Amino acid sequence: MERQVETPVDIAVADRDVEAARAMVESLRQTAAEFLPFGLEANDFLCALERLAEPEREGAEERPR
Amino acid sequence: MSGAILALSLAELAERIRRGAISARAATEACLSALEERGRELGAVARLWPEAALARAEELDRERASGRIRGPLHGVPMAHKDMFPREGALCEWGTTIFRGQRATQSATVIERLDEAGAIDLGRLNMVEFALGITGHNPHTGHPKNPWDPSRITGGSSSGSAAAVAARCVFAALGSDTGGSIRIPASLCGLVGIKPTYGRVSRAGAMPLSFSLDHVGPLCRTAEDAALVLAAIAGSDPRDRTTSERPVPDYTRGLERGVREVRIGFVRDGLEVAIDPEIAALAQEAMAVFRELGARVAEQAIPSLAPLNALRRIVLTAECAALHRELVRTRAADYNRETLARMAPGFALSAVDYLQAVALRTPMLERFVAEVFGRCDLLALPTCPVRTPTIAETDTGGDAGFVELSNRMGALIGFANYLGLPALSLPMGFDSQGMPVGLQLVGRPFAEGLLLRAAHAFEQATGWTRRAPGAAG
Repeated sequence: MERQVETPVDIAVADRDVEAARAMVESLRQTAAEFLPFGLEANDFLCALERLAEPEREGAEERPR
Repeated sequence: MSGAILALSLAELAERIRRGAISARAATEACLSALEERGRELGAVARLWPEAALARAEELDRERASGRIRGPLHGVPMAHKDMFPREGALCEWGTTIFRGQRATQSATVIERLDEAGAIDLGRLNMVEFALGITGHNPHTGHPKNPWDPSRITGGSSSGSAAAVAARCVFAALGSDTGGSIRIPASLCGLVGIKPTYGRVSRAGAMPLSFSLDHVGPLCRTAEDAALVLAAIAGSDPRDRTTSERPVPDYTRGLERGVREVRIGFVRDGLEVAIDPEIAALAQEAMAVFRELGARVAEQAIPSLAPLNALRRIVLTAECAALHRELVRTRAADYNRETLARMAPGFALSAVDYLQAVALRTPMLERFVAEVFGRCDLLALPTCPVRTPTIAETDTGGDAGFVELSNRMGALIGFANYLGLPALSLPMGFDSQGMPVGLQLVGRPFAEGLLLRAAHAFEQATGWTRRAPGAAG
């Protein structure tokens, strides 16, 4: 039986789950250090998708309904 | 007659129904019969609604006879993953925890399929809460792969893939939070598309991770996928994350081919071992695209490992937030696999989650600039491992199961985190006779180009015309 570890939300998880979270966070820290500017707006993701869309060479004709 | 109907593609069936060569009732009866027999053998069926489906088919036949066609899917029978509710009907999310749950409102995608004329036959089994990539679900039984019933279907849209691949139904909706459309499409020999984030409404559908959840179809062909996607895509006042961008007629450009389309083939640097047979099939697929006139070149991409880590932080944190109280009070009622996938989310901090969410835009900008500056489509295997058996992977959520799940999903999760459209299509068969999928990824809202390339490839290779043997 693996050792259970308390978490910030009072749900105990196994040691290996905490290790898995630690590994993800380590990767996050490295990426954030390189790519996360201070003060970034976090909610502009949808706008970025629209902005980076392909040119409309498929034609903008509406689908038949 | 029933076998001949079931051998048609969705597009072929819809065309025959429109001109009165086949009735919606005959198609519905054929599908219901196939689902009752083969579908249940494969463990794909959650529940069927034969009376309502046949009544709807007769209504649609009467309308056609009087000259009314509701839409491109008039009279086409479909069934869907058990996370898309229909008002008044059971919708149980693949879990015993919500056994008996009845929907008070239909999901937007179900309403849109109704408007397009589709017939809803019932609900198909899925991984519990859609949290898992292998297809295992001890509560409902593990769905079996129609190409070899000893093997997994992939998940979490396991029943959807099994039912469509077994020719029990013409298409099925699935969801994809980290490959749950593309992996089962790959393992079962289907075309499955995860559209751009915001292209298809998630309103009413069971949430797993609201930043990463996508809804899309599993179909036999790219043309079928184009028809279903066109029916369900578009803005929705019930889902504020949907885009206002107009929905193209995806079927109109299908025949344009891929001449001069730049395909970036990712051969190296994928940071996961690709099975040699899968790697060889991907090389052959690139040769086919070259023969079709595409400009295929090897393409380097940013490391996928950090993107996968960021996706897992967002997924497990959002999922843990949704399930917090249920896990506290009913942990024993969950599948062990489900808890194993979700558990790291409880050990993350708010700071971790917020940073992972905030990094999406710069990561997307970097990926698009570095990759789609040089190619129009990215091509790579959908799944790096060959389809394992149910027995060898039924390990109850232990460390080996989690590792296998992460490996199976190593090449797909980045498209969920970045919101990019991605499609899996059959690119051949391995030495055990199992289908293998090729993944195409495009710029935001490039679904039309993905479907066009898939259509050209399947016309050239014929892989999508193969069906699993009835005795398989």
